[in-house]
Amino acid sequence: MLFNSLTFVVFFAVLLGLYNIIPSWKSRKTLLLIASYLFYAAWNPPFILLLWLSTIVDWKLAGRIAATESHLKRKSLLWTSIALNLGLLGFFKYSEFLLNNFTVMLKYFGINYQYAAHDIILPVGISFYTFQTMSYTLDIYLRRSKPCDSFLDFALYVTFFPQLVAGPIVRATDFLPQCIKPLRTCAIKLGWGLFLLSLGLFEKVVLADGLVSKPAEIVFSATAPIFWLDAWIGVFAFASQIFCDFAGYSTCAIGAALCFGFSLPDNFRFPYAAIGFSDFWKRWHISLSTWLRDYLYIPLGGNRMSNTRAYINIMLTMLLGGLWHGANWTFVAWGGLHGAYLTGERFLKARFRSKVWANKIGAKFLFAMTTYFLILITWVFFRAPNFAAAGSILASLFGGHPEGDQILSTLQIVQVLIVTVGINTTHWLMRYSTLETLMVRLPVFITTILWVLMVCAVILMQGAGNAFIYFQF
Amino acid sequence: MPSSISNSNTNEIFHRQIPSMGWLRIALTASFIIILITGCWEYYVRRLGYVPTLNDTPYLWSTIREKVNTLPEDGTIITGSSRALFDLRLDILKNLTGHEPIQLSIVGSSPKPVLQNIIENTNFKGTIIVGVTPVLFFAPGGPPMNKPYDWIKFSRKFSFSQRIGQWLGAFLQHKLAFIQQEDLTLNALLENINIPNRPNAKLPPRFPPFLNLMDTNRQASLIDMVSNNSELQNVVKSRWQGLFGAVPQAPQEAIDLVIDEYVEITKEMERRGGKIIFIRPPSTGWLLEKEEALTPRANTWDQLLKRSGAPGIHFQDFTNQQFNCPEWSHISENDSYLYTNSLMPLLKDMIK
Repeated sequence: MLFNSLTFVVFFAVLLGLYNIIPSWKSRKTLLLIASYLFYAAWNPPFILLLWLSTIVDWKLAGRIAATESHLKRKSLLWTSIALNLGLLGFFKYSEFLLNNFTVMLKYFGINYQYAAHDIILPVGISFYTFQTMSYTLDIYLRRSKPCDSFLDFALYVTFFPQLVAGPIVRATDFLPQCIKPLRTCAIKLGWGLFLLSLGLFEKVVLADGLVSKPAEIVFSATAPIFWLDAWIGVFAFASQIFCDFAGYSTCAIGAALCFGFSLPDNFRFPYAAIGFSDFWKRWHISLSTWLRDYLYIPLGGNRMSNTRAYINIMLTMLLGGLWHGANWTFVAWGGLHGAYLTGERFLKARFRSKVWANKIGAKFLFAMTTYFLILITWVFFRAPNFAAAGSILASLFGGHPEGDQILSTLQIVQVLIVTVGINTTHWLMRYSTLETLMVRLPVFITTILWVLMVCAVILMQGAGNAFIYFQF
Repeated sequence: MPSSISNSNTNEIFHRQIPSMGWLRIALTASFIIILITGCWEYYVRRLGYVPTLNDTPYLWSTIREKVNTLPEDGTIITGSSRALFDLRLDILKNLTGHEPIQLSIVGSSPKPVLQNIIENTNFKGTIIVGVTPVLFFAPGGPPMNKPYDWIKFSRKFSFSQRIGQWLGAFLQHKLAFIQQEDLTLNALLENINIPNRPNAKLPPRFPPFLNLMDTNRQASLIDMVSNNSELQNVVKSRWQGLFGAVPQAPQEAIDLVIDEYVEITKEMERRGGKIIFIRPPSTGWLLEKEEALTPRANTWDQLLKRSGAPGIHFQDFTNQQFNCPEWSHISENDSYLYTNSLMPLLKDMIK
């Protein structure tokens, strides 16, 4: 079930109504849990079993980890949880990728091997909920939190429908304490929640799907070399699309959760206003980057060892972060580029941080532009279906195909530029602020007009109900 | 790496900051204005001549495709492109077998993917009426295949929530004229802004504007606006010239290979006791000449019937009937009744 669908509108309205008439807090949580299972089952009912498996396994294992003092036993239980969750993820998401690469490797040694074709459906949200349940078990093991007393609360934490299929990846320490005392919808949370839902839908339906997805699709599916302007517009289009699509989903998730009284953390903080790459990763898909930092980068040693080891840890973390996004070497390349940027930045910061010129506004501006430019390059790998296509786009970007095809209309170029400038300007204006702070400062009539415009634009766009990009992860 | 956003102190409850404003008043005011604007927009589009109709989407198509599995043995399926959608009346064709035919035609598409889908995935052994729009029917590949393959793929994963969405969407589409995905979306409206393109831009031709009404059985009809408005007809004709003018001439070898594929499909249907009947609906004017130039009848239609052995009805064989296509490609709703009625005696003989 998509947020941008009529089915969700009805589902949400009915659920909200029932939630607020049921008196008992336990019953309301049970209602949310059942509704969340229905939400997931609406896509493909049998895959509910995977969700249950992940929930029950981590509940049991985390409980046993907490109950035992033996370091060896705790570690083996933890590794069981990791193996099961990553095993699920590996089977459904990476088995074909691994088999393909195994076949290629054997071919290199002259062995002609063909694996039996199989059509494994990728369960929606598996990358998110496996990471979420693992974080609970890891936090118990690392003694960062206590085990949850209530299976209902834990099951709700894993399955809560607003964030189930595309994040944010919520920590148990953020969610479970909210389950203790009764939560209700109140006017202020409902109002702000519905506003955020509208904003998220506007980002997804109008900006991402409506205005920039088609130019991005045209450019990235071109089979012949394209002109430099079209290549740049295509890259700008995808950069805007991936932000609006994903941030739109997160905004919808936060808004929907708030309507039921639950608070989910921010997942994006105006990332295209980043100055530097570590700043970018404090602003982009925050829940994933902090997960990778806390459960991969730091356990690998973080930056507590030598510089070389720190660079290796960064690269490993980002390569795996890239692979998390999809079973394709282009995603690994995307992650690898970010790893290279982060290590490069760390290297340069160590040498130039204290220099006066490096802290001047001109240098910061240059650094910001460089950051945005290099991020755009990474999006080429993220979006292109393969390296050949990515290479062709990159060549076009830098004038490698002066006679390349001009495949975008002027209207499409104008649309993409307006959306891109609009997003980047907004990010820079909001760089040190939050949406909540801005709303308090705006006059009420402006808020009302903005809300009206967003909803009318969504209605006028008459979206075909395109899935969010991150559903494929 | 970013600083933690997580609350590691399990005694603290994570709360989002919420702007303290009169949200109830804002929401009610915004809702009122939204309803007002939507109402005005609905009134405006109705004044322009739009009426409520179903949108032809993969959702609707999938609900119809599912019915193939429950068709009786002597049932009828129609597939083809828009001419098979607009020009054939399902309520009249019902008299062939007593069961209303299932309409699986897809606008702007070759019928081959749908035929292959039926052959490979069902045991259907009734009659399939295949509409032949020559340039699409005999296309060796390319854009005429894209939409049917996409819709077939969609139908395979047609989820429960999508079915409910289709039901809800159909309810709204029956009530509101502005829900027209081809013409009245924000994107479609923006495309009406006339910004000159670069002289060397290689852009796909524009499709015609909204042309048809559709009901829940996918019975489509050319809208009166096009049948009666010469200005709109000229717009549609200019779009056909752009679209069909861009079609490359397919080599005869490629067309022969396509005919071979249809022969295979026809033979398979006959093996199971079923039947395929090819129908070439009318076209007129510049478009008819263009179609004859790109896909001459002698090399295409005649070869198809000869090599497949399947029966066929070509509109040019109606020596005593003339059907007018207001925009060269489709007949009016009134004429579609005449056309279908004139086909009936021939079809009854062919089905026996």
